[in-house]
Amino acid sequence: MSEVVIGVEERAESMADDLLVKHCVAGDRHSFRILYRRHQHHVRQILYQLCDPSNLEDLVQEVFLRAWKGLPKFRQNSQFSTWLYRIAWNVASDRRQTLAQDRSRLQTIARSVVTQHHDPDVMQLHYQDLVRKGLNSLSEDHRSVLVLHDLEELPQKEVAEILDIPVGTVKSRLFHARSGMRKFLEESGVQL
Amino acid sequence: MNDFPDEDPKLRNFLRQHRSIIPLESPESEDRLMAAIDLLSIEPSPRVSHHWWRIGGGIGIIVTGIVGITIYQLMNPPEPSLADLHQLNLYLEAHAHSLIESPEERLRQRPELNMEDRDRSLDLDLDIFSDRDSDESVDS
Repeated sequence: MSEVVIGVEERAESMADDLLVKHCVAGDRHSFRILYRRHQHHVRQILYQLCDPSNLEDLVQEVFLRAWKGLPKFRQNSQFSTWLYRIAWNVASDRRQTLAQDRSRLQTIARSVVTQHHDPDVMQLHYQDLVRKGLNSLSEDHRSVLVLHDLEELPQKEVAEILDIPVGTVKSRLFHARSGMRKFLEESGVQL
Repeated sequence: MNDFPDEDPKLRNFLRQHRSIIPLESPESEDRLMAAIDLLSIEPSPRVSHHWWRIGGGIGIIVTGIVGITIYQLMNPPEPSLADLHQLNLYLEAHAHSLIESPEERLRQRPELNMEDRDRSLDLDLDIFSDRDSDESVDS
């Protein structure tokens, strides 16, 4: 009996997203667990790059809870992952607005800590901090396209779907976002 | 139209190399999520409401059809068959004398009318009969 259950679960693991979504809509929670395992890492990455790392676990939970609630209305016009990343982007946008003041306080603390040391590991931390601060310095629109395309390696077409904007606008925003990031890094002493 | 370069490899590599490392997932995150989902009841499928809309729509179409057919039949009554016409002719022939009375006979039955009313009634009736007579004369 247990072998049958294991066999069913293994089959579910290999199912495509759209099939798992159908099972979820029918109330199958195990299918949603598989979707969570499959996509949670990418969702965490996006959330982490788009907003402050505090409460990351709560944000991930919120994304997947919103997805579960919204599944009956998901028409599968786009891929499940694109739809899920859009939810992640919405959650990150909401959080960014509420945490704007805390972010500036954390930046001040990080600057005072990092600039006091120069060993290799600390230099890596320093660059990481610069990248994070550079992302923070961008507008939300520019930051979103830079994170989704250059960091998360999503195609421009999918970025356009997630943000609900034309591909041409994605290209334009990418250009300006990169210019802004380059300028910030160069002013911070980084030679690309 | 879009002359923006698609990629900036140097910047992209630097960003990926020095991107922040996300903290490890908390081991109980998945179970916490599934527990939260267990507390939620998945929203009912919209198929139920669609089902009722279909039934309502079907009833509406049937009612509209019945009303339409009734109106059509009222405005376009069916033609009488030859058998009906023949039966009607027989009836008229059998009862013609009792249904159509001459003006003089009617006046005899209504002695309360004065002379002026009698003359006017007689004139009207004679007009009707004169039409019929002329028709009959044409036919003959």
